[in-house]
This record gives sequence, C-alpha cells and structure tokens, in this order.
Amino acid sequence: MLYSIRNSVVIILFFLFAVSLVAQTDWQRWEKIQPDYLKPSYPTERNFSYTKSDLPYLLSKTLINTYWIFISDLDGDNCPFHPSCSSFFLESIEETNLIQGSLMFFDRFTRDSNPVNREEHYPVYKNYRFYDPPKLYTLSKEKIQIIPPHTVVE
Amino acid sequence: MLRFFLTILFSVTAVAQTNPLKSDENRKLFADYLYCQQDYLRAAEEYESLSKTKLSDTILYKIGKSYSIIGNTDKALNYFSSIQSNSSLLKNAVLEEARIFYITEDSYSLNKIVNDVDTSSIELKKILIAFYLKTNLLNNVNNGLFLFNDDDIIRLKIFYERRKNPTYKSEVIAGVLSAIIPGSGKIYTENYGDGITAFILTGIFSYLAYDNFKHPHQFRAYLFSGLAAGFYLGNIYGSVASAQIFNAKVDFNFLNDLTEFLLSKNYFINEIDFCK
Repeated sequence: MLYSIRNSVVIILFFLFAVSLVAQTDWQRWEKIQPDYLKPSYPTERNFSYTKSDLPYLLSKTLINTYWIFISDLDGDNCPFHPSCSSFFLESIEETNLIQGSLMFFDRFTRDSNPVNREEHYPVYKNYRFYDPPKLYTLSKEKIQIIPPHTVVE
Repeated sequence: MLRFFLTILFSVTAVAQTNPLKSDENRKLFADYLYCQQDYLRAAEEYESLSKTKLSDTILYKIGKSYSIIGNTDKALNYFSSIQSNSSLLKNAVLEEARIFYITEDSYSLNKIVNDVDTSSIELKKILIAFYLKTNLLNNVNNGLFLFNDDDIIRLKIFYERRKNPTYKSEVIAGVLSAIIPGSGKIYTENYGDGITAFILTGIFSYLAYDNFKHPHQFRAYLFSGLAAGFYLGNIYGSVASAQIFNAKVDFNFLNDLTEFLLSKNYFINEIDFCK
C-alpha cells in the first residue's frame, strides 16, 4: 500500500515538474516588446549591370547608368513615381523599342512635371510612390490593367 | 501498481464508450453554431462528418452555401446539385449554382440551367442578362430576356444601354488634337493637368529653340529643338495611350457598378436565414 502511494506521488510529481517546465516557456508570450512605429523603407535598388547586348539597349543603359552615377545619386531619390523616370525609360525600351520607348519617356516626363491631382489618378506602390508601369503605355490594349487610385500595390 | 493502471485504463475506456460528444446530434448542433458564427469551412467539415442518413436537403444546402462562400466552387456545385428535385430549397440551390457560373464565367452551364433546368425563373434570366453584359455579348441580350418590367430589369436595361453606347474617347481624335495643339488630346481624355503641362513644356522648349536660332547659339538651338520635338511627339503618343487607358477605365467602372448592383441584390437570391 505504502509502495503504491509512493509511486503515485512520484508520477504526480513528475507530471507537475513536466508541466511546470513547459509553463515556464510561456513567459515569451508576455514579454515586453519594443514596438517600431516607423514605416518600412524601400530604398531604390539599382542594377548597373548589362543584361542584353543589342545596340539600343547598350546605348540607353549607358546613358541611364551615367545619369544614375553622376546626377541622380547626388541629387537624391526624388522621383514621385514607381518605377522612377530613368527606370521607366529603360523598361520602356525593353518592352518596345528605342523610338517608342523614348516617346513613352517624354510622355512620362510630362506626367512627372504635372504636380496637380496625382493622387486621384494613380495607385500607390508599397514604397509610397505613384505606381505607373510602362505596360500601360505600350498601345497594346491587352496589357492595360486598371488599378483604382489609392490602391496599394505590393 | 498494476491495479492502479488497470483502474485508470478501465475508467478511461468506460468514459470513452459513453462519451456522446461526437454523436451526430452534437456534431450537427456544433456545425449549426459554426455556420451561424460564419466559420464556414469548419461548419462544412462538421456537416460532412455526419452519417449519410442525417444529410437532409437543408444540411446539403448549408454545406454548398459554406463552400460557395469560401470560394470552393467545385464542392459547392456538387452539394447544390445533390439536393432533391422536390425540395423547397431547390430554387435557391439553382440560383446559387447560377451565381457560381456567373462568377466563373461558365457560359455553357449558365445557359443550360436557364434553358433546361428552370425555364420559368425570372431571377435566372436576370443573372443571364447580367452575364451577357459582363462578357459584352450584347447580341445575346435579345428582347425575350427583357420581357418583364420590374425594378431590376429597368436597372439592367440602363446597364445594357451603358454597355451598348460606352462613353469611349477616340484614340485618333486624341492624337490629332495633340498634333494641332500640344496637350489638347490629354485634355480631351480628361487628363487636364497633364494636358496643360504638355502645352507649357512644348511651348517653353520651342520658344528656347526659336530664341537660340535667332541668336547665334547653334548647339543650344538644336538641343532645345530636339527636346521640343521629343515633348511634342511624346505628347501625341501619350494622348493616344491616354485615350486607351480612359476607355479601359470606362469598362472597368462599368463592371464595378454591375458587380455592386448584383451584390446589392444578392444575385437575385432570397437568402434563407438559418440562424434565427
């Protein structure tokens, strides 16, 4: 009888100990945290490498790389659009050709120069800039995808 | 010690045998609770675990509805189609199927339901009209579908007229206008700020080119000429693109308004409240 009681006590103590061990790890849920109220930042990532070998691409990429190094990096990350005007120029040429891409760039620069009522026209990219991709302006209707203004694009 | 373990084992087995927690009645009660709590996935799973004899039409409908709400359309269609033909829920089940075919743009199945399963249903015809409006198959919206004249049909007729005569802007006119007066094509496509900016930019660079040609500054003159030409041609191009985007927005807004209308009418389905 005594033997049995002792064993029962051992089993109960063992379970109590095991439960206490697990319970001890629960403090992690209640620990004090340091909230971060800052918005996440998305610095502009620039790829200086050449990925194609055709002449229009080489010319435009060299021009844009030069602009990035000597002007944009010193002037700051100021373009209110995503992709930035210089990236838009490159992407336009990649999407279409040198002439059409240049026309798309001039049109983009016009839109960039207009400071009025932009928030009513464009969705917002996650880096808090107006989202205005080149595929909207290739004159190919199938590529046009309407995203309502104020929508956040990830 | 052996006696101790045997006692535990025996008592656990005895309790397990009498445990009514997973009886059909309790499962159904729990599933009803989950359904009313809008926990549709778990509700459907609980209903599905009932024995076959307990699956009444109401339960089949609720499973179908649950799967329909969470977007599992294949399973939803399975359950809706398994409802008995003499059930009072059949009409709703058919409408639910039609809603799924409308959303998944299954033209063949929707037509089959309207023309074969329930030819007298006005609600089905309304969904079919909405479907033709959505997919821009206006030739199929014949007068036979507009036979009735309730408020919904009047609204659908307005949508039909909107789809038939959309307020598109001509790409050619936008391009020509910008060629005549820089920026006017953009103003035509209701991008007023961009239009005025294009006019100012082209004007400034043209003036600078003119002024530098007038004075002996050849390099600057050609540079500004190039920029002025770039902005002028870019604006013509941009006006055409702007007209395309405007037209795409017209279609987008139409579909948004149509969807909003259908949602406000619950796709013409009289919802049954199982949670009173």
